[in-house]
Amino acid sequence: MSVLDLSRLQFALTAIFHFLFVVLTLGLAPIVAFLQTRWAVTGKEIHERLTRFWGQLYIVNYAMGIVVGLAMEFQFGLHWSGLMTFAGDVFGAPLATETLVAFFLESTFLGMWIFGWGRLNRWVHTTLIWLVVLTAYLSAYWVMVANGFLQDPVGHVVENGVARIDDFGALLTNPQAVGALLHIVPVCLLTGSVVMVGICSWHFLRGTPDVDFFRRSLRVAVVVGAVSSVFAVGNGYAQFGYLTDEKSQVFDGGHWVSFAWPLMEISGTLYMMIFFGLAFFLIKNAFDRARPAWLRRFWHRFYVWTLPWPFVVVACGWLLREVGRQPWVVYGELTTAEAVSDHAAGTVLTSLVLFGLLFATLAVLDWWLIARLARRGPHDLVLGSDGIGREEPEFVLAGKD
Amino acid sequence: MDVLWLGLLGLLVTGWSVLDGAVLGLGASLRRIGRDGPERRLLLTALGPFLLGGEVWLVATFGILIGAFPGLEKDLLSAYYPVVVGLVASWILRDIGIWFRSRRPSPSWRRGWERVVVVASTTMPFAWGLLLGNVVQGVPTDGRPGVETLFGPYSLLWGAVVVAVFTLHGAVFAALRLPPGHRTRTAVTVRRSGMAALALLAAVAVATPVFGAGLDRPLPAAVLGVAAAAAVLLALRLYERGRDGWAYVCTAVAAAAPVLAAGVASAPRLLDGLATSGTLDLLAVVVAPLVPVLLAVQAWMWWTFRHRVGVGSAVFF
Repeated sequence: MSVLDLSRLQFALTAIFHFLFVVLTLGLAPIVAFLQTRWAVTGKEIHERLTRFWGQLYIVNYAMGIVVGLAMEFQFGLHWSGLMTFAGDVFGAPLATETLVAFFLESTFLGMWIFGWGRLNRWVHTTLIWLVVLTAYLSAYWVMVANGFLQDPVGHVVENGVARIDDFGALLTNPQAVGALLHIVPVCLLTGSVVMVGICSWHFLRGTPDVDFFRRSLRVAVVVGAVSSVFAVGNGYAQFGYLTDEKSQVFDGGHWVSFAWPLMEISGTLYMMIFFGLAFFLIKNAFDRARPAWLRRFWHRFYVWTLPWPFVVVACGWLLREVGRQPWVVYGELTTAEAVSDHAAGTVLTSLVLFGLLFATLAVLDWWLIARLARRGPHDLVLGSDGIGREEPEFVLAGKD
Repeated sequence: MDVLWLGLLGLLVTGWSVLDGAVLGLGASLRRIGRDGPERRLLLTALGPFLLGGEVWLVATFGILIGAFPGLEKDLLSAYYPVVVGLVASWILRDIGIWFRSRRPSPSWRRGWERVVVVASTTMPFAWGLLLGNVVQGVPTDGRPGVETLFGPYSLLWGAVVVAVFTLHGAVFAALRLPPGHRTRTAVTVRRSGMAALALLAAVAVATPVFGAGLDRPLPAAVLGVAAAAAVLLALRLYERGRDGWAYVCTAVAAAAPVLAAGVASAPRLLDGLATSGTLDLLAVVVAPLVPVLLAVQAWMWWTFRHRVGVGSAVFF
């Protein structure tokens, strides 16, 4: 493989691993914030448990999103020096804004939210999670502005072979950025809902004693999923309005990523139908009471086993978007072959193997830990804990008994 | 105006050295200061609130590098590719080690991740020091310096200096955060890393002229080196007297000194990589007004978690 192929593979691997965690982070964050707001208003124990249970899954997932994101930030400088030379002045600005204005605040607020449990006033604490949500979505916007520029380089002029910002407004309102974001946001929420429905189903299959807890979770998930599936599908189609020629050809078939489009279309439509169907099963808690029991259990198993599916579909979305742009890195202006750094193939291969093994191992472990916490149900919660739990043989803090 | 951008870069990277330097230093001594499982969990509880808020400073540093210094970012990452890959890989492992360690009760799971934290919290500052040592010797505009420079004795010396000052800083941070009864656990680490830091700082002072590192501005760098050594000495005295807060202030100076020294010594070269004025004007409008907000939020975080850990502290890591 050439340096170009290896660098592209490393970028694809990093971006996809990053997004597999980001998609759930963005999907669960508003739901957790909603649950915590209800807890702050009512002060009921059930709402506290809902917040802490879904919140702990959210943050354990978040951990992997951050660490792969760290590697992501370095990809441009490590492997795509041609891109930085040609478009660094344009492309760098939204990325810098993302790290400083959005991620910096998001991470600081999240740390305060996790460790401010029981220490901060409940309204301040609730505001913190909403600030995390706000900055997380702001982060997504700035990343899409940078990516949108690569898809359709608006708002710049090229002088002496170097791109300079010419119209910042055009950069910020680039349909390739805004349109894609309007598709991605409901997709994230839909993914979060699918994961929640799957976890609730697992507990109903096991005859959970926490029936009320999972019924409440299911209600939130189904409503969010039904609404977001409409926008996910609708805004997905809306992007046909500004497809480039190269990408249209990929959609027409014959390209190796052409499979991605029918897969997204069919999955999106099916999820829309499923969630609208599920809405009827909220009536009188039919989801866990409907008969015959074998059919009910079949559907519960279906939701458990198809839980990973949305992650496959979102990866397809990125494959289509990024591979479909080839051979360009900045559409119509700079090819990936021109942009790649001139490292030795062995150097890039070494870091590819290192990061690939690291991400794959850590991702599997992280999903396993999330599954473990999810299976344990709303007991012995690790978020907002004082360190005393079933799994802690000795108390952590001095003076506790 | 250009100098202000360098100043912002300096501010961010200083913030990282001080805040995450303490978390890294503590991570490196996790199994020395903490004798058993519960003690190590106590240490992780002590550093917990500062992990996310500390590491973002380095994320932001590289963000500003991409946005305001795209030329420099490209040169640094291309030239020091293996060091940067090592830095990022150990950063990932440090974070994941802290997140995963307490997620299962199994003692072997916990021991395993503690070792990962210790090793990664040592290699990350070491890689950072290597990077600084290389920057001091001049950032090439094209290609990569040879192995004899990249991993040469002078660069390795810088790596060791950063590990020593971060370890000292982390141990003092632990003393500041642990319940009073546990504070004395840090004494041996503070003394040893303090002595190592002094010896290594002296070694750099001797080696810099010997290796003929072509510093653009040797004088301010030398002043910072002396300030770091004085800060270490003062920190050791203050720690002995139980003044942990002031000792932390002193070790913070020592933790920030290496990067500031490398920065001022090679400032003209760093400014070569600055973006064009259009991009900078834009960033000045979008980013600059928010810098006070970022600082205020961080100050709020520090204020919230200013007490020693104790009953009522949230335990997560």
